[in-house]
Amino acid sequence: MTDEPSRRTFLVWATTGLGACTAAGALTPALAAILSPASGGIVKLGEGLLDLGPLDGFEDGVPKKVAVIAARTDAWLKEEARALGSVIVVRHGEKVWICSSTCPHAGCDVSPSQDGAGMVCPCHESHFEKNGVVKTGPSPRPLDQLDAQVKDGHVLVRFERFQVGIQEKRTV
Amino acid sequence: MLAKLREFIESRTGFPGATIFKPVPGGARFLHVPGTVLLLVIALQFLTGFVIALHYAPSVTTAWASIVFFEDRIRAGWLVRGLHAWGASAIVLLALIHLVQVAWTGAYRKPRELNWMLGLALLVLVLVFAHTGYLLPWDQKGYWSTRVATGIAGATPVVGTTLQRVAIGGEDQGNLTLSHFYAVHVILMPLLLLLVVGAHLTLFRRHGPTPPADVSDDAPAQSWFPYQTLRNLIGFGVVAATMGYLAVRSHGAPLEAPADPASDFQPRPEWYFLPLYQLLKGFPPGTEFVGSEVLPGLILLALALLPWIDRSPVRDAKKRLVPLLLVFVPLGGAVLMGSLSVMEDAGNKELAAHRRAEAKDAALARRLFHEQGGIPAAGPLALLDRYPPRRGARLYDEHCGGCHGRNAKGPDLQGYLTQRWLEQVIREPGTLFKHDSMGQTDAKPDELAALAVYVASLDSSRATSLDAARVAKGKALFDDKQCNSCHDVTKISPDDEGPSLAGYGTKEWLVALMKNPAVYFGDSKNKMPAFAGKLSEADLDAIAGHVRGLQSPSDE
Repeated sequence: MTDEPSRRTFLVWATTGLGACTAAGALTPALAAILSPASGGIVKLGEGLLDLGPLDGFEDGVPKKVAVIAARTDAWLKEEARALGSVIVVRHGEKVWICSSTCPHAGCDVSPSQDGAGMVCPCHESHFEKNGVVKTGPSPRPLDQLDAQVKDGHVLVRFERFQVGIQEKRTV
Repeated sequence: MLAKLREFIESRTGFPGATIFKPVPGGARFLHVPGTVLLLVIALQFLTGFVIALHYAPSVTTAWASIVFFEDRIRAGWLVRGLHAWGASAIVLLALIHLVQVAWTGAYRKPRELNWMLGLALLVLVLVFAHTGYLLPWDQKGYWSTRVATGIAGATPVVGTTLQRVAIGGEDQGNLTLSHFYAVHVILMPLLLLLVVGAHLTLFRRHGPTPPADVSDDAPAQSWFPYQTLRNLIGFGVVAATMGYLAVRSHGAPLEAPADPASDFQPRPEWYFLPLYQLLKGFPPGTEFVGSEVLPGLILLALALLPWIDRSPVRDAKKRLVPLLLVFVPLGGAVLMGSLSVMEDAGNKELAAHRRAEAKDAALARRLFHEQGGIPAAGPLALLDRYPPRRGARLYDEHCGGCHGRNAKGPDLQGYLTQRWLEQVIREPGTLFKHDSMGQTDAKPDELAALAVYVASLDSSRATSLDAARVAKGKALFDDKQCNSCHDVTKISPDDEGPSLAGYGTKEWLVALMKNPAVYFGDSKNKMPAFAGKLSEADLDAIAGHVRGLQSPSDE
């Protein structure tokens, strides 16, 4: 406490600066690691068109919920056949219409309604037509249609997930 | 505005004025640095530990893989883990420096007795931290060192078994051991540490630092901030930079192959447990607990009582040698024991060979992880088991090794397909094929050699690397010596006296033989079991690969 003011001021700045540099040095690798999953590449769901089984397994015009089984990488875990999630399939003759069973409102799991006339979300009572259009309820957009086709008598789908809670259909 | 805010806070909390501007009696000095640096490294451990915990999964099937994933696939993961591992060493080292320094300056004496004891408690906590930490990756080192340590605890009279079972969560190391150690490492220990460090700091603030013996009590004081703080930060900067350098140099922290209870890994503890490890070598079986528990306990007790043992007001260390012996004799003993251990291992060629093999295993496991893009749900050992050379070796031991070995029923396959092995079969078939009726030959040494080269050439993949003239000579001898009357070299013919040598030694030949040996040796003569239907095609292929590899010491 006997120092002249200029030396003391310098030391205050030097100490503050060194403290800030040390803290930054320690935080940089920690933040780099914490932010790393934001760049993706942690979970990989089956790629390309995935087989949902023979078309014969689906009744014409009746929505049916099925699990999508495919290869899945979850961080360090690599599995060849694993349920990625489920989809709702509506058969129209030799063609199929398929949507994700995730409700676009809050992400609950949508099921075909009891009467088979459409789909319903149990969380907030969103009701959907068989083509995914919202009948009633808070869902901000129709159910998310997935790229689907029938090949050699088998139903194929490209499985994707979409951001919930917004009007726009955007993959995550 | 800022001044007003500061005044508001100051008047309510005493911060910063009464805290960071508190005077340091005798002035700021580097002598007071180690304690604060220790505190800052502990803070850094909380940060790096938290980031690792964000990515870690404590179970037998996931722990190792989650660490590999964190180090290799999460950005800067290796650096964070490297800092955490080196941080553990830094903390042990700094804690010891701090202890010696406090003992040297007599800072444990009235009124600081309790703080001295809290410091000793911190040392124990730090060691428990370190011990519970290195099991968590569930690699060979963690697994086997912990096995040894808990085994010793289990041998404690009366309470041993209970103690061990509670510690590892069952009869054997497994999932509950990991969850136990994890919970202790990331919940219990941090809480206790915060509590004890908090008390330690509170008491420290109350009594202040102990000025060196040669500084009179009325020497001019300086405020903590910035004078002492700057020195502390420089000290921490040096330690942290060293840790960073070491973490970069080792690219993360060591990670052995995944824990394999069936392996013969030779564990050594971390350097700070080496003295204990060395000490226990000298205790007769059943009395190890004296070295691992009683002796350290007594030393700790004696240290705790140091403030009452040394009550003289003299501050000069040179005049307090007797009490200081209490600190330096155990410490010197530890250094001696640790050095002995290092020196013994340094001259141990067998251990060095082990370490090389272990390093290879670790590299293989990691390579497979990345090649496969992860591990199967059954865990990292299943990943290794799928690797054909590994699988071949294991299946060979399981199904073939019992008969095919030195002095066993079947032919010894060590050195299979080498020139020497083939020559021996031709020269003295009975020494390898004990139940065989193949006649001995009158071939001269150079003829034997040529015959062996010819037989080796029946594997077309090897033929090109062999001397064509010798192959031709061997072929001529093969016919001349009437080997061909028993051994067909073009096809499998069950009617022949001896086994067909068509494609001899190739994987295909070996697989066909393993599937149904009788086709080669004849129903009446064959003693080898058929493996068709017992082992899959892939497994047989893996075994064939292993058998072919026996010609040279395997190195995957």
